[in-house]
Amino acid sequence: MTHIDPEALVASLRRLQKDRSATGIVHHLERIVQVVDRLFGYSGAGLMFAEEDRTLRYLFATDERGRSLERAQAVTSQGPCVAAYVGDTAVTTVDVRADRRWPALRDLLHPEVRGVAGVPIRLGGVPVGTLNVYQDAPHEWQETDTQALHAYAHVIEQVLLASMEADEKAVLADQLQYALDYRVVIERAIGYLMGKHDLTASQAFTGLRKQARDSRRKVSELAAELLGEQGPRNVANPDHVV
Amino acid sequence: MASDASSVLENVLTGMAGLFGVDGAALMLLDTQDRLRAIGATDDDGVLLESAQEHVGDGPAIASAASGGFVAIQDLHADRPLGFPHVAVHALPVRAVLSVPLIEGGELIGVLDFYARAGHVWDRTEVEAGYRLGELMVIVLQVLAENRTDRAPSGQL
Repeated sequence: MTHIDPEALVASLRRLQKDRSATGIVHHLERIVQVVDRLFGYSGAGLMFAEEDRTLRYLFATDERGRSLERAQAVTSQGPCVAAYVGDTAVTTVDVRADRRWPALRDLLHPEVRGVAGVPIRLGGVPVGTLNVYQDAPHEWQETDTQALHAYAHVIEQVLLASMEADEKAVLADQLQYALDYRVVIERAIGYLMGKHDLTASQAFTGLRKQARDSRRKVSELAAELLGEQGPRNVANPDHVV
Repeated sequence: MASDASSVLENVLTGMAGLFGVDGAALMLLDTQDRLRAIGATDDDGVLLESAQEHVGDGPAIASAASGGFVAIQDLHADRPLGFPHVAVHALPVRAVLSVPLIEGGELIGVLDFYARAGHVWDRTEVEAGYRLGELMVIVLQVLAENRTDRAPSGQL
């Protein structure tokens, strides 16, 4: 049985609040995903979340290869993470490029995305998204791998729950929706910069993020401005699935 | 579906101990007076480990906080400097302890302890995993802290 001293916890949380501005749940989720592949030694990781109509969209990936995995699944409505979400269970593949279950993925994937595992993220027992990891070579996933991923997904669920206290539910939904919408804008801005300045996706995103930080603005705002747009409603959204 | 801070922390500590494959995990955090206080643990042995350190003013977590680095103890009962026998006497079932500092924004905010009831040599991979789980704990604590006042929807990207 776990033992927590609520009084001591509140006192320490009060200290943590001092002089720190809130950064929001999506920022925290990004950091959590960045930790996961360093913890387990995977090549990359990402998160996908479902919208109200159960369309699964990608929220975050640790690198361009991971983005290709999530984007490909969003476009084709198939893949290990989509299957993990729909089936509410862990789904793995030794080599996603050679897997006959999802033939449409191969041509859309970065060539270094091979072994893939996805586990559902649940709230109230219902899947709301997936935690996805990949390896850059074919990989035989063990049961211990999926158990660890389930445990990590459980921590993510706790973070989501912590953000859902009472009237915070609507705020959380707004924040996730905002991130899902603006992700497309950022992707397009990255593509624009790659083409204009002959950059890799990583270089383009790093530059975009640095400029946003230097000017104390959100990456999404800068991306929209770069594209001459006001916000996500002006942007076509091709990445709906399920 | 909403969950209070204590139950979130309970679940996270239990999950981390499971992820790490150790017998338990315990958390100590600095309070508003910069004192390291016992916050919680996955079981009674972890509570004993924390309260012993708080009471004695010494132990792997205190040493980790003081140095800002990890402290890996194979057997808490061993003589100093290998162990902390004066702490161990108050937390008899606990033998091996790995303490990692929790750092946020360059500042120490607390220490996360992982422990086992049998002696154990912590290897480099385990120490690295401890640090990663420490990072994860810092994020969880930030979310819990922000949830106390963060009421305005905002974009984060």
